[in-house]
Amino acid sequence: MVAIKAFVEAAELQGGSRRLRRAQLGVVSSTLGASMDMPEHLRNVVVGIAKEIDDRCFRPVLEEADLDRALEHARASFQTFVELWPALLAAIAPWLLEDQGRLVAMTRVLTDTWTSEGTLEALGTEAASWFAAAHDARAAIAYGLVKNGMPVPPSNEATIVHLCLVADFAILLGLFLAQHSRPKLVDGIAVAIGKLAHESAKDAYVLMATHRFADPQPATVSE
Amino acid sequence: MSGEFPPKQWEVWFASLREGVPGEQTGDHNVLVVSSPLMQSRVVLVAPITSTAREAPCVVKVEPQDSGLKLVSYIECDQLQALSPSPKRFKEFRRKLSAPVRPAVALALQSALRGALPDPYANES
Repeated sequence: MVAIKAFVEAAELQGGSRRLRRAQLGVVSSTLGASMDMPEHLRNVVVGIAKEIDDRCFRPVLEEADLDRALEHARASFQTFVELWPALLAAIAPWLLEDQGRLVAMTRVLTDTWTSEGTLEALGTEAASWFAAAHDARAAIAYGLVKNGMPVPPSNEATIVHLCLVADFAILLGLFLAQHSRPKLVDGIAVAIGKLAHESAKDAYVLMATHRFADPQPATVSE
Repeated sequence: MSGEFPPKQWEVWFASLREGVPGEQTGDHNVLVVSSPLMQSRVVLVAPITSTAREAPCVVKVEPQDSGLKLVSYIECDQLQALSPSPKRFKEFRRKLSAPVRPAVALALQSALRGALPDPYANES
């Protein structure tokens, strides 16, 4: 089991403006690649930083020979991700937030990614099920925020942002593992990262949505 | 008031499940009512609760203070059953599940029913 605490502590080091945090919660990491209708200069930024994330954060995890070392490298890589990811968001936030429809479009995800034959074969059913559930929870946050205007509870905003950062890292790493599973992934790495993605996204959703599931207050009778 | 018939959403009851074959939850179990009060049905949908640890996206771990049960428990959203809201099935009311656990149950239900629920993005242009 990957200790989520170490990742969240690393995420706490990240600053950022309120505007950027809102963009971060609204953008599910794995949808960025799907939004290619953005202006060319922005697309170049996205592609460039995504490649940087692949090369500096994910490829080293792939190259480790055993699970413990791979997870250790994932923790170290997350520190780099924490620096790169906000840089990417800062670059595209003005364009994204200019029109809510753009965020909504980016939040619309291909939910069958995790159940595709290729992903199931690459990651295995167990890992794919954790990633699929993580993706659904993360998308529920993004969609709730962007489309339905679900408020972010101020007292939990920082924790939600940190958990989403961990989830975005783990989901992107899962996609990378699925695309680079040949010749063979280290045993257990996909399931471990899938559980990390799920735990962080689920905890963030719980913090964000608890008020929606609370019992209705008894109606007050006016005098 | 909680604990009245018919059992309501988010209530934990001690109930008699349906007969089954190995692999299915059967016998007397604590259960969580998950169905909507607007379902317009003669049955209520319940998710069995077990003390046997199990890890899966469709299972929710719940602490005693959130469920009113004595042990750490696991709500199995992949073992939904439809039960008649009768005292023959629902034997004893425990308590309502704490609100902070409910979103996790909602996600677990989504995971169990993945592909069977409407795509939330379907109506977007």
